[in-house]
Amino acid sequence: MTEPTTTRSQIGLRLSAAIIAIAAGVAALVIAILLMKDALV
Amino acid sequence: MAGVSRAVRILVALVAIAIGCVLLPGIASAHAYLIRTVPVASGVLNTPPPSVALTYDEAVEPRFAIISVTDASGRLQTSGPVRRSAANPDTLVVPLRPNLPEGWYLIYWRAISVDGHPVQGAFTYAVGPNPGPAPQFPVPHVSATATTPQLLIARWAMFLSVMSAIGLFVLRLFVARPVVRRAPGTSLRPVSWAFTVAAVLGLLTIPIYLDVATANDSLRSVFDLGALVPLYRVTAFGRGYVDMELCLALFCVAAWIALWLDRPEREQRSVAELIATPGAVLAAAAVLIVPGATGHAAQTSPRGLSVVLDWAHLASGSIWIGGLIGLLVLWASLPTGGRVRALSVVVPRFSNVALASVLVLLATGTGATIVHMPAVNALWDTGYGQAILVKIGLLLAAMALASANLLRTKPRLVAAAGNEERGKPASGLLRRVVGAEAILVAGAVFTAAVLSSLAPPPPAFALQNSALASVGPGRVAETVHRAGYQLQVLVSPNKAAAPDSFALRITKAGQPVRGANVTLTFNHLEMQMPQQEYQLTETSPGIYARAAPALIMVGKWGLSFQIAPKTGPAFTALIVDQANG
Repeated sequence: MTEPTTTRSQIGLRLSAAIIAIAAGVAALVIAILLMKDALV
Repeated sequence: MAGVSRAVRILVALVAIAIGCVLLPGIASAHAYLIRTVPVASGVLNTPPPSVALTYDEAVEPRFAIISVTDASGRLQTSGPVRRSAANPDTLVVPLRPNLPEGWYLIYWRAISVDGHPVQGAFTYAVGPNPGPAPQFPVPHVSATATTPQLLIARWAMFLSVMSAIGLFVLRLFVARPVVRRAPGTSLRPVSWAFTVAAVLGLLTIPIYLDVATANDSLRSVFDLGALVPLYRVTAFGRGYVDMELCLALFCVAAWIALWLDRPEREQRSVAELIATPGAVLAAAAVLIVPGATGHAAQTSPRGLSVVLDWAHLASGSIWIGGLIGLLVLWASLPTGGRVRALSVVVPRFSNVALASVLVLLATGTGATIVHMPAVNALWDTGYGQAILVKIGLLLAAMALASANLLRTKPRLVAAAGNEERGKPASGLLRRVVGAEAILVAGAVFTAAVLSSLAPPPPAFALQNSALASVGPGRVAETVHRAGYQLQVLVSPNKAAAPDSFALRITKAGQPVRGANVTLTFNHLEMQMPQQEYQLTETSPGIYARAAPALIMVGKWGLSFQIAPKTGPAFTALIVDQANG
């Protein structure tokens, strides 16, 4: 059985989604660090 | 896979560095405390005051504060709501009825600290010039907290769903992933669905918990959303949980993308997966920072270390409880014909992860207990310590079951090598043991919710271990011996929120000790509040006395006499006094 071919548009979609995911992670971390600075300073 | 685990290690290191950047030493006070009152406690005024002003060590929110002023018959004498003083943001003011008659008045106050915990106190004052004898006011006890079963259940449900969501995500994306390749026909979709259910429950329970806590603090109905929603971000505690909801929502977005991108049938992860997965891990780490940053950890010195311990504790607990739930879901969803084969792949991997999680859980829990407990006996003498003991008991029982899995079930499943008939007993045992383990860990999460609702004992608690005697409630006449001196401690009437007189008779070899310098300091042993210090004066040979409104709260007080005789070395004598209302 051969694996389905990934088209260029699918690659673009997957990469865009991945960038959204990493941006969400960084945003969450920034929120938490700011909260912690607020709590500890 | 090696690349991913390296990336995860780097991310964990980055999170640790970020936390390290905000590590701050220094003493932190756990709760707001009262530093000044107008009128002064137990004072007698010649004219009735127009208002009562209470100044705290931090800017407490007037919308969450109560200041009641009642006369001897319990009638309320305030004429308006509590407001913040225009001159000092740390001062709350409540107006009084004009021309209050002569007599004694009780001021009872309750405020919400920045960590979301209520603190309260009471004291009296009199309007003179002839107020008469102070009446006996009923005084609330310090242990009366605002925690309700409703609040505890909301907090538990929130912790459990958020931790399970994170643990299920880790199991699905890191632990169970190879099973699709090694046990053909196995699907991880049920685990992804379980993650979705837990995440949605987390998104629902955080605002519910915030609403219940805000309603509790502001003494409103949980359904009074019009009044409650504007209050959500008023305290640091509320702001923390609004941010936690935001972080969890971002985690859900990142995690769902990572799961959507994941192709477990391929051994190597794609570039998109390698970008998305760290995003979800970062967001999960961020979610777990919030409870520590808004709770006891951020208020307990050393604060940076306490927050890191709390975070690592929550992370390891999440991986454990979420993994157990995921194993149960996987067990139930696997076809009977391929169950043993699939479990023989997942269980050994999860056992290793769970073992590491339990070790981190133990280490961080022990560290946090050392940081929070001022003395070993605080573990059994305080409600906070007792809750820790219950939690330890539940976790030890869960660990006993985990070791049964590690030592018995895992080798049997591996030995069965995919033979369904040979592996069936081990598979059944696994389900029962993992089910019991999950219930015990969920119980430990409940005790964690109880712990978060209780105030840890203050550092002054440790003082009582060096006390020469424990006295009270009621009038005190106790004789103790120290440094060759005989000391008789006299306290009358030894009631909270009443003017008490304190006296110390010092004798040596039957002779009164004259001309000594005697200072008396007061520390509340159950609640963080400022230390008070009074100089005693020699009223008759060898007797040093002072009337002071020092016992401002019901509870255990440490009365520390610092005695400097005219000749000979100075010494200290500590007495623990129970003052009732």
